Amino acid sequence: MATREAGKKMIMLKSPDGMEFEVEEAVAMESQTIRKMIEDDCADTAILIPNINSKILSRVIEYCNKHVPTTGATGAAASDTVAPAALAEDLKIWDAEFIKVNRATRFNLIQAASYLNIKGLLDLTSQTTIDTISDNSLEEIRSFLSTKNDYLPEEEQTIRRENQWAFQ
Amino acid sequence: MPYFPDEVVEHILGFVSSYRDRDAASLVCHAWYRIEGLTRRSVFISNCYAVRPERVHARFPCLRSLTVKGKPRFADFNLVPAGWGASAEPWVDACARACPGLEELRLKRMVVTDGCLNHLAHSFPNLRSLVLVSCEGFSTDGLATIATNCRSECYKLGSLLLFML
Repeated sequence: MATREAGKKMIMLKSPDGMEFEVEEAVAMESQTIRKMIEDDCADTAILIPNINSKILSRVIEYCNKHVPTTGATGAAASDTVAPAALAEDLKIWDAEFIKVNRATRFNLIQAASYLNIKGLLDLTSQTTIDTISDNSLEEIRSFLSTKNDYLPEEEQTIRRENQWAFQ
Repeated sequence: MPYFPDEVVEHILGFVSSYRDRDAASLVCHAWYRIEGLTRRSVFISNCYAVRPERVHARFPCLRSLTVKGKPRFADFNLVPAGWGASAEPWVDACARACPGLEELRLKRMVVTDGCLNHLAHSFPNLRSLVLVSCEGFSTDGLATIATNCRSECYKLGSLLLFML
C-alpha cells in the first residue's frame, strides 16, 4: 500500500511472520533490492520480504532510517547545521552501538543485508565479523561461524603445508 | 545458525587483506578455501621451489599480482654456486598460459634471461609493473624488448616500472 503522508511516499514492508512496517520510500530505497522493485513498479502494494523475520527487519529499517541521506530522513538526528565530518563521526558511533548484538542476530543481519543489498550494513556486519574472529584460533573461528570442518585430516595438512611454505 | 551464501563469504573475505589471515581463512572449510582462492588477487611465493607454478594458478585463478622469490638471501654474498637454479622461465610460462591478465610481476634473486623478458613482453598486455630485484641473466637487449613492446601500455597505464638493485 503506497500511501502519502505529509508529502512523503510511504512503502509497506511485510515480514514472513505477518508484521507490517510502514516506512518512507527513501528509507526503503536504501536497499538496492527494494529500490529495483519500486523502480520496476513491482511495489504497488505491500512488499513481502521473505526470510527476514520481523525482529531483524525492524533492525534493518532502524539502520536505513539512520543512514538515509538527511534531506529525506525523519528519524535521523542530523540537522542541516551539523558539519558533514561531525555527521560521519556521529554515524560511526551510532553504527558501533547498533552492531552490539549477539552472534545470531548479527549473522541474520548479514544475510538480510546481503539479500536486501544494503552495502553499508553489509560492510558493517562483515567488518565486525572479521574483527571478532581475526585473532582467534582456527577451531574458535569454525565454532564462531558454526562451520563444520569438512576437511579430511590429510587435506587440511596439505593446505597447511602449502600455506606455510609457499604463500606466506 | 544461518548458512552464509557464497557472495556473503566473498564480501566478508573482502575485509581480509594480509596473506596470513587469508591463509587462515582458507583452512576454515572447503567453501572458504574455494572462495578465498577465487578472490585472491595478489600472491606471494616465498620460495620458487616450494610450489609448482601451475598449482598457484589452479588455486588462485584470478591473480593479478605475483611475487616470487628465488635464491636464498646468502646468494647476495656469493655463497650460492653458479647454476643453482631459480629460473624465472617456468613462472613466466605458467603465467602466460593461465593468467594473461597479469598486471604486476615481482621477481627477487631469480635468473631472468633475455628470452624470458621477450616472452614476458609479448604475453601480458595489461602488465603495468615489472620489478626485478637482485635478478641476473639478462642484458640490455632483453630490457629493450620490454621497453619496445610495453611502451604503448606505458602511455595508457602509467609508467612501466623497471627496478634493478
